[in-house]
Amino acid sequence: MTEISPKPKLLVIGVYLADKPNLALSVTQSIKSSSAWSVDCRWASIGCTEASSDMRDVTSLAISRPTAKTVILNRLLSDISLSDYEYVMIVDDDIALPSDFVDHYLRIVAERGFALSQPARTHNSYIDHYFVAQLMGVESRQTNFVEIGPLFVVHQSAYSLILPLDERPPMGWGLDFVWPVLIERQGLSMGIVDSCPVEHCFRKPVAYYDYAEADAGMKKFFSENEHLSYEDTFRIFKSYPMLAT
Amino acid sequence: MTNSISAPKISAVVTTYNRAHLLKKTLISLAGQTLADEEYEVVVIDDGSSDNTSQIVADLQALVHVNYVYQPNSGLASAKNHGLFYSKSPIVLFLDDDDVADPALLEQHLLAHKTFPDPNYAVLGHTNLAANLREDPLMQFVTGEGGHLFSYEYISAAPRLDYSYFWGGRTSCKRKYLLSHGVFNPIFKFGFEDIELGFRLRLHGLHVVYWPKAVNTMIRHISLQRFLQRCFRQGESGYRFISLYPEEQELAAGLSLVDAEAEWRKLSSNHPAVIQAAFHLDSMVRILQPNQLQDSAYYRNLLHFAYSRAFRAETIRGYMEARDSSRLPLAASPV
Repeated sequence: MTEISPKPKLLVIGVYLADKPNLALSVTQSIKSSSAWSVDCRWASIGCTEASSDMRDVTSLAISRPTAKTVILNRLLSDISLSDYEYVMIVDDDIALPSDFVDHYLRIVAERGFALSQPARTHNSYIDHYFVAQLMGVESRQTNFVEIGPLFVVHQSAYSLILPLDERPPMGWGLDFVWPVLIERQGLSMGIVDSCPVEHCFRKPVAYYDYAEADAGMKKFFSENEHLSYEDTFRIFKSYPMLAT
Repeated sequence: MTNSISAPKISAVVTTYNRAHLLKKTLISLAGQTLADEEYEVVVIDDGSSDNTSQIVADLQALVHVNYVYQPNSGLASAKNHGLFYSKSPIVLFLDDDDVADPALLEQHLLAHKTFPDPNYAVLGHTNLAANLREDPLMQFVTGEGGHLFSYEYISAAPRLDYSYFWGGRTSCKRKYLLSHGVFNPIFKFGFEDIELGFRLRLHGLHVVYWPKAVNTMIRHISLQRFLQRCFRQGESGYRFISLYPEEQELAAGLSLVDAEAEWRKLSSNHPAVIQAAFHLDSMVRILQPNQLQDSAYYRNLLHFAYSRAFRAETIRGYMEARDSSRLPLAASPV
């Protein structure tokens, strides 16, 4: 009898706006359809509306008051043994994933050895930093930037650098300019996967929180932490062309 | 508290596709710049060439350090984005693979940006036609009176030009400005990828400055057949461009594509004759001595009329095919 080795484990955590239209269910269904990974999915709901029957099993935390996203995510992480998981994926509730996302994405991330990574954004998405827009013809690229959302993935080699998330900047703004310093210092690499981009056009970003407060918090955070400047960020170090299928 | 990375002052991003013999000349010209080696970098994005492009670049590495990046053929917009993201300098100059740089090209682009340091100022350099192409009737027309390829005849001395002068292959920008406000839309495989980006950037204050001392030279001869194909693809891209902005009534006029459908109804029946006439006249003038054509205003005007009509007919045909074809990708929202 052949012994079947257990699937590697993936932890997925996210926050959804329970009182607003969201795509948390379709994200969950897509991620759970993975055939190569054993997926644990845990959401926090924020708002007054109770979790729907479809979401109840994957909603571990319900918060009614406005709370910083990093704080909520850390609460989700607080009672989880991260060493059980090879990757942690942090997702927003307003993205559409391509089919076979998890298996395709994590296969590339593993091949390229990205300790911190994210999928590129489709060109019809809302984009703050155009650097994350999908490059056609490119499978993936090693970069010095991975944006904190709408989806990013941490490999266990970088848990101690990235998790729990630093709660000082509200909404996590600016963490993504500090991460490259931490990743490089540790001799790890980070990158963006272009061949399975996510669509981020369901809800305009910054719609439900205070932009000015988040921006001021980011500036304070920068003054206290080594980070890349805007000019030095958004670089490709190596790109991997899409292979013919 | 920032972690700074040393970088060159300007990146020359060359996108190329199956033009190894011309790219070689482009790269040699970039090796002989007046700037010190460490002040600039050369990035070549090979957009899926099947010729010996990679070997040519490898052979030239001793002369000029090139960051060579290959991608399967994905079109000009994607290649330019790839080059932009790969580049390290605060200023990025997009170059074509059929242009040879004047030794001071990069220095002059830098100087222009020093003169116009605001992030929203892009710099348009000057492109000459190579001496051996100046007598060619078609090349002369498309870079002169016709202005289909490039033409500086109508650029005034005005310090600021609008987005329609955001010409690919001869324009430099601040890298941060593009990364903050917009990159090329990959639905544009060929044609209008530059103007469409300029069109979006105008909302972020884009101004183009013409800097005539930043010179390069176009060295590729284009046959009539090739130019007609180019017009067809421009027409396809024109349709995509207009489709992205249905609310922009003035755009079709700016692209000279107002009521293309009605124009095609008139054109379609005699389209083959229009194309054939251009070929006949083009062949005829090529057996004349150059000065014979210059001396005969009648034939010159007739030739230019035939070229204009044929180019127009192919552009409109491309527009209509793009409209009718379900092969073409859906128009994504502007990035």
